[in-house]
Amino acid sequence: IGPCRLLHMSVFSQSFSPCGKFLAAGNNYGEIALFSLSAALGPDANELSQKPILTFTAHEGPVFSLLSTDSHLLSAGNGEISAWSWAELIKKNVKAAWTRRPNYKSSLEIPEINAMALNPADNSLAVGGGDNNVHIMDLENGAFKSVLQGHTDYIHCLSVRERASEVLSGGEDGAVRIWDTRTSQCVHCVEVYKYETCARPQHGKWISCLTTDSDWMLCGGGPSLSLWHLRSMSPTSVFPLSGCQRQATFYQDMILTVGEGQCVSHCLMGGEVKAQIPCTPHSINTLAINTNSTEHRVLTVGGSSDHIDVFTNLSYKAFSLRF
Amino acid sequence: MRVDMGAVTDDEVIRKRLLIDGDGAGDDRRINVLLKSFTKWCNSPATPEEGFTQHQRMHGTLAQCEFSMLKTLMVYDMNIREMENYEKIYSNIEENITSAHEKISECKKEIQRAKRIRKNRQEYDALAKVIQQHPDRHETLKQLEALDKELQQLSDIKENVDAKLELRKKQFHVLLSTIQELQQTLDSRDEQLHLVGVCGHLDVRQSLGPGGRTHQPQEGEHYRHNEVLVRGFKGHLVQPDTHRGGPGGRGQAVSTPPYVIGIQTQSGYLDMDYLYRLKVQ
Repeated sequence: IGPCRLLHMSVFSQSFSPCGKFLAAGNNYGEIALFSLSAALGPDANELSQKPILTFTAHEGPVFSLLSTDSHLLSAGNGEISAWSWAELIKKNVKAAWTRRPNYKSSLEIPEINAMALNPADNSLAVGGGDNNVHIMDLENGAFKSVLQGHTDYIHCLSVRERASEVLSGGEDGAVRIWDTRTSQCVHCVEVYKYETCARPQHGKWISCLTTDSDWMLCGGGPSLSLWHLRSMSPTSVFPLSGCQRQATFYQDMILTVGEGQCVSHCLMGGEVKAQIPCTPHSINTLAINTNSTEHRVLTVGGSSDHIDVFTNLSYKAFSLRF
Repeated sequence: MRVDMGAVTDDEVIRKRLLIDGDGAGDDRRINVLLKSFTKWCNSPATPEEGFTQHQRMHGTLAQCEFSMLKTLMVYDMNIREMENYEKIYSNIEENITSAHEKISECKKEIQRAKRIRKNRQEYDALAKVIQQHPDRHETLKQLEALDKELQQLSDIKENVDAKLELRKKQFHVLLSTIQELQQTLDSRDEQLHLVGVCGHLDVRQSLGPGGRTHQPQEGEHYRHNEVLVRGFKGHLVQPDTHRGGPGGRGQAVSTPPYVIGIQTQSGYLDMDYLYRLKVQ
């Protein structure tokens, strides 16, 4: 890979393997790289172990979303979803198990897929992208079960609320919609930018980051990152972070969030920012925690750089994996 | 491979021999020397003194050998005891390690629990913050009660006013219908009837109460009132606005409403007092 390409590379998505030993990362050139965590974290790690063990071109467009099921890696790019078997990938055999495309209304331009979320309750995949709709696909037979329509602009992010079997979607139109998967109806629609405590009109009204913990929801983007209580549909805390946040997650008793700044922010649910840990990329797109393995429990962040920072202890950056 | 095996065993042999002979050069040699001297002494045809000295020398050597043997035995005992000691220390340390491991896992569980508790507490705080923003329930209930009472009072007042209005409407209706009937009867009977004009805002108490002011009009005066030409007549001009006229004085004959005139008929003059009494009671 030439130095110019490396300079312009952005990592958009990450996913850990089900065994927890490998990390897959997707970039803006449509490539997916597989890194071996056991080699990089082992006692005899060197420069070479921080390079990918396998790099392949998965799609023609950027890979905006990666998701791992128990046996497959799902990647979304250029309007289609491909599945790769993890066992095959570890053996360096690059062949997609299947490739599907949701039913788009217009065939002129292919809308990109920005987010995917897995609903383990009924083994379905929710896919959201540029055509303003959320498509629900059944993983058993690959058919697209339903389409959730309601957003007026493209969808940035999706999240699944397991206990209530609901899908949350956040989009460019500033609305967070909660859909019931059984009836495919929109149960709630929250327009975050209309709440004075959260709104930041100088940034816009789009919602780029959404995650849920069954009772609580974090959403942010143009408006400030805020914590919402879903039963009462009211914002409880607003986090004083200056940039626009792109991904947030609940981890134990903290909230980890990344976005426009060059750092990972640790926040408490009360609304205070406990720490900001600096990292390599100047603007971070994705954050992932390896919950599939106990000995390789690391946090990885990727963004507008060809380096993926690995944190073995949440407080500092240990080393970087390079494309 | 063959050569390798040879080298290994050679090393082993050398090592073994060094080990055996390691205790201060000569133990092995001493035993060999003793044996040789013993055989030489047994086979030597030497004199008894020399034989005796040789014998003594051999005893000495034997004693040395025994001594060194004792020494090695003691060292051996010591080693065994040291080994036991080390075994004990080793097992002690093993126990400590396992207990430390257990403590660590306990502490890890504790920390997980504490983190969960902290998370719950923070969630609680966040919700409490939102709830605090809403007003207190007791306050709201009290306000609601006060408002209810006010509402009740106002509706009572409204009912009263409505009832009064109804009553007045009925009274007024009665009055008008009486006048109409009277007019009709008079019309049918008498053409030179002076009309009664009633207009405007009547203050019933003032105009029709007993003892309304009266005025002695001039004969022949004409009063235009509501397009009804009224001829002056003999009789009384009752002025409803008592304050217009002076007390007891001659009130102004005003052509502006409101005023009520009595009815002059050929049979007599009927004033409003009479009419009022007639109809209402």
